[in-house]
Amino acid sequence: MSPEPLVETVALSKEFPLPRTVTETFHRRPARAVHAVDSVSLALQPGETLGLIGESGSGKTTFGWLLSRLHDATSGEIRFDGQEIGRLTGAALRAWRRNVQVVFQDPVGSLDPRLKVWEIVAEPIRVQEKLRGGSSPSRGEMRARVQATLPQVGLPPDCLDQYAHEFSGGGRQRISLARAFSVDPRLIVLDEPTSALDVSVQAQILNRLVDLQRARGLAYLLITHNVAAVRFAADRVAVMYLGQVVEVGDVRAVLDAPVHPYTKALIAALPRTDPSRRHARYRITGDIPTLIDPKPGCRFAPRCPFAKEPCRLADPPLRPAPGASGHLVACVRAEEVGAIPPSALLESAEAPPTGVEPAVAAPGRPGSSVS
Amino acid sequence: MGRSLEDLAIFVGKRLLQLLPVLFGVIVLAFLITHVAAIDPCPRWYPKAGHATIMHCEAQFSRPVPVQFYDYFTQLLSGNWGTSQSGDPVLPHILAGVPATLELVLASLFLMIVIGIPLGVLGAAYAGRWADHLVRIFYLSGWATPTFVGAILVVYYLAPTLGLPTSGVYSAAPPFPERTHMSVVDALLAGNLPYTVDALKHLVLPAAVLAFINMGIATRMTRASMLEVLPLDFVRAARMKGLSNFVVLYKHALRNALITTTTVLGVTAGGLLAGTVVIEEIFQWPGIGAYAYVSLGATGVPNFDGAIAVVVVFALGVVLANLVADILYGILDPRVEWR
Ligand SMILES: Nc1ncnc2c1ncn2[C@@H]1O[C@H](COP(=O)(O)OP(=O)(O)O)[C@@H](O)[C@H]1O
Ligand code: SF4
Ligand SMILES: [Mg+2]
Repeated sequence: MSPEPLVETVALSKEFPLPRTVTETFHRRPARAVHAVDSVSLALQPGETLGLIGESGSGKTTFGWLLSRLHDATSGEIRFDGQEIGRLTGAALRAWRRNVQVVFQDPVGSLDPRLKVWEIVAEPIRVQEKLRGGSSPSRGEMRARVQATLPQVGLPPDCLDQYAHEFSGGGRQRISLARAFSVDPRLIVLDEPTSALDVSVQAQILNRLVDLQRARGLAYLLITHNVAAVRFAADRVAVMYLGQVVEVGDVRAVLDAPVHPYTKALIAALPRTDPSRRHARYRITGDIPTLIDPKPGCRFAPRCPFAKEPCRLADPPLRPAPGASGHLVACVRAEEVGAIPPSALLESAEAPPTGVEPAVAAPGRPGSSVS
Repeated sequence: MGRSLEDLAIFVGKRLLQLLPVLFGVIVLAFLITHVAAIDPCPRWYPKAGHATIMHCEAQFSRPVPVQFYDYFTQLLSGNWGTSQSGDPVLPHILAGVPATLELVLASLFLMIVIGIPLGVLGAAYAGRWADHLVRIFYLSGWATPTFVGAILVVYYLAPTLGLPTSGVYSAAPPFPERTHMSVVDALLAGNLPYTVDALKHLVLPAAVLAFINMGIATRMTRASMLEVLPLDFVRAARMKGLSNFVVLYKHALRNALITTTTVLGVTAGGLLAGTVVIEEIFQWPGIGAYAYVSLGATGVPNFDGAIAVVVVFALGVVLANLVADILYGILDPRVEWR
């Protein structure tokens, strides 16, 4: 890992307090909280794409919004270019925003229905120019600038005066991309940018993203359910489970030789091309997990077929996985279970040889659930 | 398909055409209520009149209903809107009263917009917190106030404190012709600054009472539609551009929330007319509200023709307000095709 990451989080956490119940108020107990992001430490290098996968509700969006300062962290640090930005406020925060942009998941809700395409793309430029004390470019100049950028995201240059509702889902996401790229950010948080689109359009958008990254050298945080998209576009990938990162490393290492039992489950649950296994699913047992004031210990323990006493004592720290360098995993039994291939888990569910019970709950199947 | 100027003309034209059957229906209703539904109308409407008048009236009412309506309708179209019992023609009162009432209604709409809408945004931005509760208390107390109580309290307690007049449109008869019958506009047209200020002083209290009572509509609608808009991602995207929270709230989010609020306010403008009846009488505002009050016999002899005329004009006001709301909605929301 290069010594100077673009963004680095240190034990970053976000809790959403629940409304206090009557008994809590009566006994003056503190309100309980949803621990959406729980002590996450991740780093992104300049120009790299970090994939972020995990089932719905595991805190991926919340993490992305913490990075882009749409949420304020409950605790922990965010360093951007070595500078702590978690406590930036006012004009300093607003000027900093040009560094990080977000492409949202919902192509309909993410564009202002009352703005024309050129206004959507031009406004970030105008606002940032103003914040830097520069003179605001004229209307004609701005239109010309926007017109020049539209083909880069695959939009026709003559759609300046159209409204978002006149576009298909793919067209709208392209407008979102144009808006995100307009201020030349160093990082774009892509929150399931293609999950609402047709498969053919998904591929086009991903290709655009990769091309733009090559041309401009910016970094992506690619939040997705789509493991194929991660393989295609990401350099490294982090796996989140119940607010925590359980495994992170190079895409090949994590996806082809997952060490953490949850990652194995995720990979095993991928739809198969092999017809005999198409309907096979990795099955896991245990309680439906909760994010509300979780107990210490591995979050996956209630559903993990390898769980043992030490797993429940304390949160397993992220530590180097056996073998590959830069591959981190948060599992106390990594050395013992690391070599077991995901497919072995799959078969074990069909004919349990190691005492793994047939299951009730399946983990989120990548590509099938929407958060 | 589209939103060119030509499309807009067709859009407005179509709605104006659709208005005609509605208006006709309203006139039929007003006619039926006054001519057919009333039991033994003649002694009621002409309580002090002599035998001959009553006989004449009853002869009129005993004709077949369609004939009565035909007469009524043609008279209405020809501009013969009847007279009061003392022979005072109705139409001039209506023509002078409508602009005066319009001025009052527009002034109170203005107050509802500049006070009620920002309060709605505040309520949404601090939903469930104390600012939200204060806002709610404010508009609910307006809603809960009967018009006459609010008006009387203002006349007796607030007006003396503020030193504001509570009666009429000017302090003294104006030296210029009242061309439009809108006090502020007339004074401005005459270039008479002292009279403009005087007219505004007379306008502010009745408009404020009318606005206070109806404030809840603007505030509640704004709050509700803001709460629908605020969770949408484009609001977050606006924040990501580097805009301040104030601009994000009051420009990007509110601009979208206003689409609904405008429509509701347009419809409310018709409803404000109801409030003018009591308010104009208490503040001696020379509009159709006060004329309605007098015509219904509240202060003496009722005026049959005047009462019908007021019903028709109020109905017209409500229908037109709806039309304006409809057109504004089409203009504000780019997703609406104008044809
Ligand atoms: N604004 C919020 N208030 C309360 N709870 C929230 C809020 N945003 C997210 N959460 C909760 O945090 C958890 C993580 O959500 P999210 O980050 O959206 O997950 P993901 O993007 O991985 O599906 C969920 O349980 C969600 O209900
Ligand atoms: S720490 Fe224990 S419970 Fe958690 S994943 Fe590893 S083996 Fe399973
Ligand atoms: Mg999400």
